[in-house]
Amino acid sequence: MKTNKLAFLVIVVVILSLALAACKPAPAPEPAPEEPVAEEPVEEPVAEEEPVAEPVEEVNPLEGVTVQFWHVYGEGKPMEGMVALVEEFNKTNEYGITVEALDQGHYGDVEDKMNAAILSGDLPDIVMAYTNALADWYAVDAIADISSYIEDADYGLSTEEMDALYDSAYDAGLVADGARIAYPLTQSANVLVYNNTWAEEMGFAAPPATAEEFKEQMCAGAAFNTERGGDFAGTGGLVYYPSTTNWLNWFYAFGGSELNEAGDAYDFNTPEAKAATMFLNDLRDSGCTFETESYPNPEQAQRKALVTMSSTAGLPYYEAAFADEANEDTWTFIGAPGPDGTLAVDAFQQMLGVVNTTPEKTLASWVFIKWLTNAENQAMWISDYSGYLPTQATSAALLESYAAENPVWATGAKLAAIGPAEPQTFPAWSSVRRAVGDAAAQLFQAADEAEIEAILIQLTEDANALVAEIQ
Amino acid sequence: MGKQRRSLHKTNSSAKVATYVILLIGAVISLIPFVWMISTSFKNLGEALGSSFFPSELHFENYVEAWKRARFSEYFINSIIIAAITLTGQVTFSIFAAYAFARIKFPGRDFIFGVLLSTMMIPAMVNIIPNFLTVTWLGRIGPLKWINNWPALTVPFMGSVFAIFLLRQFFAQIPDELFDSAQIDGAGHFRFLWQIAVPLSKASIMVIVVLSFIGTWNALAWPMLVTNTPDWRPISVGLMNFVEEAGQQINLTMAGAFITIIPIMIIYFFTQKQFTESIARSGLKG
Repeated sequence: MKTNKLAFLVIVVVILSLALAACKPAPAPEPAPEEPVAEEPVEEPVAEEEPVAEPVEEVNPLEGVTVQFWHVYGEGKPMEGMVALVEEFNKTNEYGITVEALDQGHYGDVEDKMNAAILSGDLPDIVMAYTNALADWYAVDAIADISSYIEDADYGLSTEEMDALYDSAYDAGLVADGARIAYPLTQSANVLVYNNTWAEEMGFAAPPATAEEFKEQMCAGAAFNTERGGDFAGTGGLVYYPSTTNWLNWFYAFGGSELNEAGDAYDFNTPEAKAATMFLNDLRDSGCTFETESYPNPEQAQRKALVTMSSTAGLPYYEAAFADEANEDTWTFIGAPGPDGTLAVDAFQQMLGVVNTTPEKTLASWVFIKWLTNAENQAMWISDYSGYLPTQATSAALLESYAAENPVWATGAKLAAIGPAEPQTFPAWSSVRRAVGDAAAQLFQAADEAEIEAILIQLTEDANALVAEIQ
Repeated sequence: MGKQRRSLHKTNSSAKVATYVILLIGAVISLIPFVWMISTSFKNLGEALGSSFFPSELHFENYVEAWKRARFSEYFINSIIIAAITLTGQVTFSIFAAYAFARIKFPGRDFIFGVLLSTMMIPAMVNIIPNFLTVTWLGRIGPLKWINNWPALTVPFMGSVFAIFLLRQFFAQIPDELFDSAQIDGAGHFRFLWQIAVPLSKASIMVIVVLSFIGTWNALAWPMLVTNTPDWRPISVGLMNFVEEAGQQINLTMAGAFITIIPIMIIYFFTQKQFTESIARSGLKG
């Protein structure tokens, strides 16, 4: 009897679960994949049926176009800001475009989803990603070249707007064939975080201007903490974790470039790469660098590190760490100093790409991107919601009071403008970047120049092999 | 004689003490991450980034903030629905499949079972794109919407090779005499399955329930792939919101993690007896 009831119960539950799995709840304004097909023909038949009578100027090709925008802001103020901006655009744009902004997780999640969407065909219209990912998708024809929209007399940028753009950020969206596949929303940079107060107490009036001065200060910090002993022994200088970004930061400071002189192949076996690596390894051998298990904010706040390396977006975490230690030291962002005084950071742009869909949708997507990144909106997005860095002088001008209130942020903004940026649109950079990370770890373990050279030769070979694989 | 017994008793006691000490050390080691999670969930961000193990002040508000910022109220319901549907489907289909492999003779049975078992060697991540293309295709050809809907979130996980394997082993152990007796009483396969085999395999079904629930509850990559809006996402996505480009709000992540594991602890609490029994009988190790 009992088991009969059990069997009946199981059957009921299975039927209910299958029914529930099959039902489509009402909410969730999901854009159906068929949408483009349904919307497209609206204007075409009109043009065909009434070719003579309708004056072309009166047709608004963007009326009623809906574009789906995949971004990475799913939490806190950035999410609020993005929702507010999109609502504002939907309410006020003169074309009747509707943007549906959908948070898709982190950059890695967006990449996974976009890769899957390219295979399935259920693509968004605008996608936020790092440039190397956009370049990969452009290679399979999933991303559109927006040059013609940018230059368009009606929908493009004015001369003043073009002039205001920072070249380093704007040109990061350019690929080898001249197509522009990415447009910067904002930027950030990998920088050095420097404790001014502690350095001054050790007799250094200013941040290091050259690599030599840098070593002197790091070693002074290390010596200071060795003397303090206890928990502080073995700390004091630079926290260096040999990642791609950190190694490239120093590589740039020493004048390095990932590409050969002709700009048509990767070449890491250069005097600059060797010099940068030997400089870092010299710091290691002199006991002036150390590693931490996690983000090094606490070490910096505890005066265990004179310099750490971080994204400018890490500013709130440093503020929290210093506040927690009740440490009132002044700290700031600086660039990595090269032997000749060249300062460098590794700049990144938060890029927007237009997906290759229909002409109406790609144009509508560009119209939204242009609006979203105009000086006023970019300044508001930075100051009120995200804390990222501007990509144009006009936004920077609007952010003057914000910069005065947030001097560390202002320093970051200046540094990001000097760049350089990684060759994100050069073929296979996504894969090469991973190879650089592996090489950076090996380089930091290398015993001598010969070993360094061998690693750099291998890296160059691997990088060019990765290019050959996709061509 | 008495001396010998006393020394044997002594040796037994010493072995017992040593066993308990080792078990205690193991228990403490297992508990440390859990205690650290709870402790960190009560810290402010600065403290959480630092090295102190316990908070100087208890920040209960972290739980409220984590709940709000990770949209747990929406995601929690989604996770419960996803887990319930997946669990029901997985247990049901596994029971039928396992029974067929254990007690029904049909051509190619062992070969098919072997093929099924060999799929366990394929890492789950490898199946993600083929599964995604399948559910997209099913959404296109049928009347049912799959992406951004329960089917894509649940159906691919209703067939579990591990669950089929586990149940098959239990069903295969049921003596043939029981089946013969049932047959004499007029029972067919279906009645034998529901009235004899399933009640006897309650412990292993509970193992499947617990493992399936944990797997579904913690799933992240698949739900992210098949949903485009937060309306359909599970609780694990909420936790991910605390990881940012340049750091992690570790205190909120831990508060969120603690909230997230409460249902798993409840499920385990209610099924602990059967779970342990089944593991002891099958020799499975977690």
